[in-house]
Parts: sequence; C-alpha cells; structure tokens
Amino acid sequence: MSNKVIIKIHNIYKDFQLGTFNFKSLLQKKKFEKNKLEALKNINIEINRSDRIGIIGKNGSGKSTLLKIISGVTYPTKGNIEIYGKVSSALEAGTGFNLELTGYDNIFLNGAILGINYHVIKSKIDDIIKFSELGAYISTPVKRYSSGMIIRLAFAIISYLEGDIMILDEILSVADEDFRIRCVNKIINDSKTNNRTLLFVSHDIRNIQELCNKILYLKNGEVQFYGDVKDGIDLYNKDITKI
Amino acid sequence: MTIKYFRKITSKPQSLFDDLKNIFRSKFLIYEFTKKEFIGAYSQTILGPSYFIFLPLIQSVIFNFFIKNLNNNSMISGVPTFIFFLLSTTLWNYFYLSSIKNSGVFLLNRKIIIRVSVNKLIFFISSSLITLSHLIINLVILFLVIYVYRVLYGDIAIVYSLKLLLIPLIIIYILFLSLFIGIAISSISIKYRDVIYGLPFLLNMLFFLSPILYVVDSKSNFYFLFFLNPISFPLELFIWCFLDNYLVEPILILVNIIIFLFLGFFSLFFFKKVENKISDVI
Repeated sequence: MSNKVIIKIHNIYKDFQLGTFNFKSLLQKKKFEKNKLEALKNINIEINRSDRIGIIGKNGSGKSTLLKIISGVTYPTKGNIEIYGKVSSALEAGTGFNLELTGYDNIFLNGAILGINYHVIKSKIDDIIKFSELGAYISTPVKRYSSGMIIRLAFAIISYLEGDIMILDEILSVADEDFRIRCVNKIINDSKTNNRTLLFVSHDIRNIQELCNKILYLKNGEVQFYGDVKDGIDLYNKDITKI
Repeated sequence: MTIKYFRKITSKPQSLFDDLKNIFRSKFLIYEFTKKEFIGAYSQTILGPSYFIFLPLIQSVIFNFFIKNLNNNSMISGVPTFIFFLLSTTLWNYFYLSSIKNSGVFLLNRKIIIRVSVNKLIFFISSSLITLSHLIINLVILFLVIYVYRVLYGDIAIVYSLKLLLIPLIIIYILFLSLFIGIAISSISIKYRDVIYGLPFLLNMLFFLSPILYVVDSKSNFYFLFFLNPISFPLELFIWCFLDNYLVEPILILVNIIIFLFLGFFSLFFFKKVENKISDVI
C-alpha cells in the first residue's frame, strides 16, 4: 500500500429500493424487494493524495450516490472503500440550519454537523463572518434572512472546512457569480496549499476546468472514463451531442 | 507519513463499541444539537418551557379534583391524594415525553440524516438531555410543593430518608427505558409511520395500567398486568422512597427488569439491523 493512494474503492455496488412502503409492500415482501434500482455497478478506482477530481455524468448516473458513500452518509450494498484521511463533505449548503437560531449560532451548529471542531470554529468565526459579508445581520435569526444571505452564510462555512479530503456536491452552482468565484478561489487555493484531495460534482464544465486535474465520468452507474481532464470532457461532450 | 484517520466503509454497520467511541468524540455536536432543540422549541414563546414544567402540577390538581369527588377519598397510603398524584405524574410525564420525543428523532432530523454522516445514536442523546432537564426542574418543584404543603397542613407522612438516594437510579432506569422504546419505534418508523401514531395511544393505555392514580393491589385479578408493564416498578419504587410504610413486591422489580433488558436487547438489535438503510429509505 503506497502512501500516494488516499481513497481506494473496491467493487462498489449500490441498490436503491423503489416503491413505497405500505400494506401491499408488506404483504408481497419478496416481490417488492426485488424492485430495485442499481445506482452503482462495480466501481473500482484509486484516488491519489492531492488530486482534484471532477465527477461528471448525466442525471441519475450515480455521481451523488458515490459521493454519499464516500462521505459515509449511505452504505454500499456490496464492496468496500478504504479511506486514509479525514473526510469533510458538503453535499448540500446549509444542512441542518435552524431558522430560529441567529446566524452566529448557526455557524457553530452547521460547523458541528459538518464535523469541524469547536476550537477551529471559534478561532475562525470572524473570518467566516467577514467572508459571508453578513457583518451587521449575524445576530439576527436566520429566518429573517433573504435566501441569498442564507446561501452566503452556508458557503462561508463550507469554505472554511478542513480535512484531507473535501467532497462538494454541486453546491457551487447556485450562488451569485461574484460570490461563486470567491468561494471557488478560496477552496482551490486552500486545497493546493494544504495538499487536499478534492472530489467535486458539477454539471458546469467551466467549474470542472477551473478546479480539477482529473475527471471521473460516470454513465449509468459505471465508470466510463477516469483520467485526464481534457480527454474526459471531450468524451462527455461527444456523448451529449450524440443525443 | 503516519495516517491519523482511517476509515473502511463496508455494507455492514459498525459495532456498538465503535458507536460509543464515536459518541464520546462528538461532544460538541451533542451540545450544539441540544442547544438547537432548546432554543428552537422555546423561541418566541412567552412562557417558554414552563408548560412542561408545570404539567405535573396542573395534572395533579385535575386528577385530585376528580378522584376526590369520585370516591370521597382524600388519602392514598396515608398521603394526601394531591401529593401522591404529583409524585407519580412527575415521573410518568418524564417517561411519556421522553418516549415520544425519542421515537420521533429520525423523522425530525431527516434532513441531516440524508446529507451528513452522523452517528444516529447522537440524536437520542440530545433529546434525552432535553427531557432530563425538564425532569430536574420538575423534581425541584415537587420538593417545593411538598415543603409548602407541610407548612400549610402540617404532617403529611412524607419522610425524607436515605431511600431518596435511589431516585437517580430510578431516573436512569426510566431514561434507558424510554431510550429503548424510542430506538425501537424510530427504527421502525423509517419504513412504517404507523408506530409514530400508535405510540401516544399505547402510552395513554399504559397510563391506566400503571400505579399512578392508585396503589397496586397484589390480590387483584389484574395483578399480572403490572408485571408486564416495565414502568410499574420505578413508579412504585419512587413513591416508596418518600413513604415510610409502603411496600414494593421484589418479584415485580425482578420481572420488570427482565422485560426491560429484553426490550433493550431487541431495540438495539433492530436498530443495528436497519441502521445502514436509514438514510436511504427514511
């Protein structure tokens, strides 16, 4: 085992149950349980330390599912993943925000949920507030924020995530242009200076080109391409235009 | 280079021992969850948590009024009915609210469960801490009311003795009992929501099968029901702590504890069985 590999994905399969649980599903349990969606099929890849990997693919190709499994939110049906580092994942901006709490309290709450420890948040709280540009409103309950303000606060917290592996799922595509560029710059600079590994899902090819040095292209739950950015994007574009 | 963090993700859930280690490391998260629930529940209310705090008091007044008028009996085992009801409802309300709260945690925190990797047992801990804080305030009120009653009406057969030291143990027992009920119900609730609606109904039935408004009579035909009801012995024992001449059947304690252990084993076993599916099906 070389020190270069940070994530080792072994024969990952993931099934999802289809249909609703009700009286009928209980009666016909066997038949119901066969009705499954194979979201990931036989995924085998190794990710090296300080790689920045862009994951692309059409809707339902298993991008988010793969990131969810690496983050430990959901579990594979078969196979295993070895991870040699601390995973910080932001699958959604502002997970667990409580509308009744103030912006300041929400930074601590959201930080705790994302796995940042207390001392780190405490020491960076001023930077986070400054980055979010919410200065005067930080002690107002979040329910009185505009949706743009909530997103800025959420992104500010994500931008200060620390970990050997950063996982971002399509979250940077919603903020306003100016703020998006600032977030992207901060995340990419931080990952370069701290040698972080970055896993990043986006439909926005521009984002991928800015951020990544490798591409993982998933198609119908299988790895279609894993390697150089340019080749991957060319292949992806070819597949899209075919349809 | 040494590797500080290593994690292997497989289809199997982690062991309970790993869960405990994980929980111990997540003190900050537990604190934040508890704070969130506390502030979230009482923001923009005038009376704040006082509704829960005065609940036993209000209930006892109502029970006292009806029971007194029904059978003209103002004493139970030598204690004024009002004080007796206050003792039993304080403990019962803790059990009731704690069970209800614990059984809804997965659905309440659905958004977090489907997006963040978090040990699911942590939700139970923060919800238990909230209900425990209510109980502690309720107990303070209980002692205050007993004091006031004594000043107003003289001797009321309540004795403070070393037996009071058992109270923390009774509370821990109820904490775990409601935790087990909560874990079992919320683990089932990820697929079938019926249990969430069924539980309050079931607990209201249990209320009448528990020694809250009356004393257990070991000669009664329905005595076996108290054996099956795991909340009957802590209620009995709690009252026994305050009274001088109150008897609790040791067999009742033994059977109750066996049922309690069985419930604990079942709920944790079931939780571990569904744990990995929670974020997929909830």
